[in-house]
Amino acid sequence: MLEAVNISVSIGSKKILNAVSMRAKPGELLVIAGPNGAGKSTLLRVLSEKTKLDTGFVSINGEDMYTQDAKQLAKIRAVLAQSYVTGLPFQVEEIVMMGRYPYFKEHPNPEDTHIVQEVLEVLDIAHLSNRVYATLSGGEQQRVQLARVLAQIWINEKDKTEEVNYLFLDEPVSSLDLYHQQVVLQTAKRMAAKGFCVIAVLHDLNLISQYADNVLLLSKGYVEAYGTPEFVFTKERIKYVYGLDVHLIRDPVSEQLLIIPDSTSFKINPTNNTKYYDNNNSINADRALESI
Amino acid sequence: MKTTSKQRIILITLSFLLLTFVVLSAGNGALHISPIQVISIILHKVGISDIAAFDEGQYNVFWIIRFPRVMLGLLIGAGLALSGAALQGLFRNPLADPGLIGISAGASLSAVLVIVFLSMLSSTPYFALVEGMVGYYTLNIVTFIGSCITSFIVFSASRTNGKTNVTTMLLGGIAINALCGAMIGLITYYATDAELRNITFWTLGSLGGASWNTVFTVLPFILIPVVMLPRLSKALNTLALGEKEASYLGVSVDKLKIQIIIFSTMAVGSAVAVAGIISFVGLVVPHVLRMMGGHNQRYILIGSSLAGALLLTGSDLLARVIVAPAELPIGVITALIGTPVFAWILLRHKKESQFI
Repeated sequence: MLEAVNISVSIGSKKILNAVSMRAKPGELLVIAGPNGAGKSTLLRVLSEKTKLDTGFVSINGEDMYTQDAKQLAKIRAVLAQSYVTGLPFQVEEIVMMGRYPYFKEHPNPEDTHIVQEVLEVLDIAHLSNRVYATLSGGEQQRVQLARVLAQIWINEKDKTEEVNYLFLDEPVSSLDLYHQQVVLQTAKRMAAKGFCVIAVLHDLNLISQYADNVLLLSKGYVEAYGTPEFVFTKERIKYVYGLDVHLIRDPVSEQLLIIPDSTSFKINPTNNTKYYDNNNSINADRALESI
Repeated sequence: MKTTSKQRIILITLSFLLLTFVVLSAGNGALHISPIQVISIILHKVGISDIAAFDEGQYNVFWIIRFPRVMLGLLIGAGLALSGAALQGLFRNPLADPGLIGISAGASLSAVLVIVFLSMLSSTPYFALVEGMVGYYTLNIVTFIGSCITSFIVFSASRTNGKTNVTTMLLGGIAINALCGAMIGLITYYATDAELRNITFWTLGSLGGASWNTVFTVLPFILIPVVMLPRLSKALNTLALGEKEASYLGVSVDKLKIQIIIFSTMAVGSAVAVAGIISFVGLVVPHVLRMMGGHNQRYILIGSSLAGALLLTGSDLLARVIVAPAELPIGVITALIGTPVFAWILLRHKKESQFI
């Protein structure tokens, strides 16, 4: 169980998160959603590493996470960050093996080598294992990084433990094609089914609706809604949070909820551009727009 | 991370080459000692019966003059190349070398200070006392202290809130290099011709001062980094992913930085203290290894120690052979052999090496 209580974070005088509380259960794929600048990545950081908080605390498996030993923590939680180095000169296999570093001193155990192979296959990059990372495409690099992160907390079927492992994914599909988006999210779902707690930041509401068990919708640093995608994604709420008219329809085959932006009524509305302006200086936003 | 079979072959080849060059270098000079005699002299010392005949003159020349010098070159080469490799890993920049964070600058400034002001100081009673204690090694000791001071200044200037900022550290290094350079310029302005010649030779490096005393003084300062730095290779590998990623993998990034700075300063500071500035080794040896066998830090760090030792042993041999019975400054040789080799490898690997 991962629990965050009354989290407030500010950078300078700007409040990024305001009294956010949330909880993620084992076996669950929880998605953090919201417009740009809503505080999603900050919340993910608060949940995954020691961050300077104004108020609140984070507990992992019932203990205060921020006082835990980094080496121990590395064995139960892995993080795929949003940006990563693109010019790494290592081979793919070497990079994925880095995910196993917390488990061996100098030479990998046979189990580590086995896990690396397994993860490479799961993410459809086994054929790249001897390629140099820097020569891969953006999408391939993203999958290699994900493979490394999975290897870090991978558990073989035979030695399942009581301890819950945590997987944090910050926009894991941002540079992936349609097929590999599904590969990655299927894998995330599979990890959740294994009893992991998976927390991901995603932008695509349709992917969220397809995969998320629960959605935490953030807006301007506040929790706007929490629940199943069916519950959270209403026409009114999406209009309120994203400033966008949408149609909600159902896929005739899978019955899955689909969110389709209404392009006929669409217009750029600066007061809803939450990334750059909060309500207080929307006047400035108007001025800025006039001057263009 | 495992060293691959290719990397292992490179490491083994380097070890053999190093041994060969140690034997060759120890045998070469005004009094020739053949390789087989070198081996039997060493075996004789450890109590194994003689393989080949040698006379007492050869025995003495070998133990008192040749062997300490070869050992000193080996140690210094290993220390310089290893620190270069570790710093390149830490800064995630292939152009980082020990000079960049002010180690050499502090050493140069203090060496120049000693060379120029020694004559003035030796007349004062207090200094006479100090000199009585450390005597011949004044230059080495002051140089080592100088390199530690500058590297400490650069390091502490780059720390804010208990964290080390690598960019600030590089900028601090550049600043201290400029400052030391200016001060050296100022001092050389007042130096006599003889002192200038000493300064120039010091900046070109030399193993001429080798004795068992210097070897054993330098030994711990280089042996400790040689043993300890490869143990940090996993952490250094993860650092390539980014500081944050390394910390997610349980690496205490700040502790790692401090360890690397301390070990590098130990090795480079002591090397510069006994042999002056031997440029190029710390920068190029790790590069050549990377181009040959990949970026796994375990291989790079161990390989750099071996290849650095090999380069310096070989260079010292050449330095003594080319203009025998005189000798060339060793820094000139390292640069003269190293640069073409480096250029050749660079051109050959131009297409693959995106990291240069």
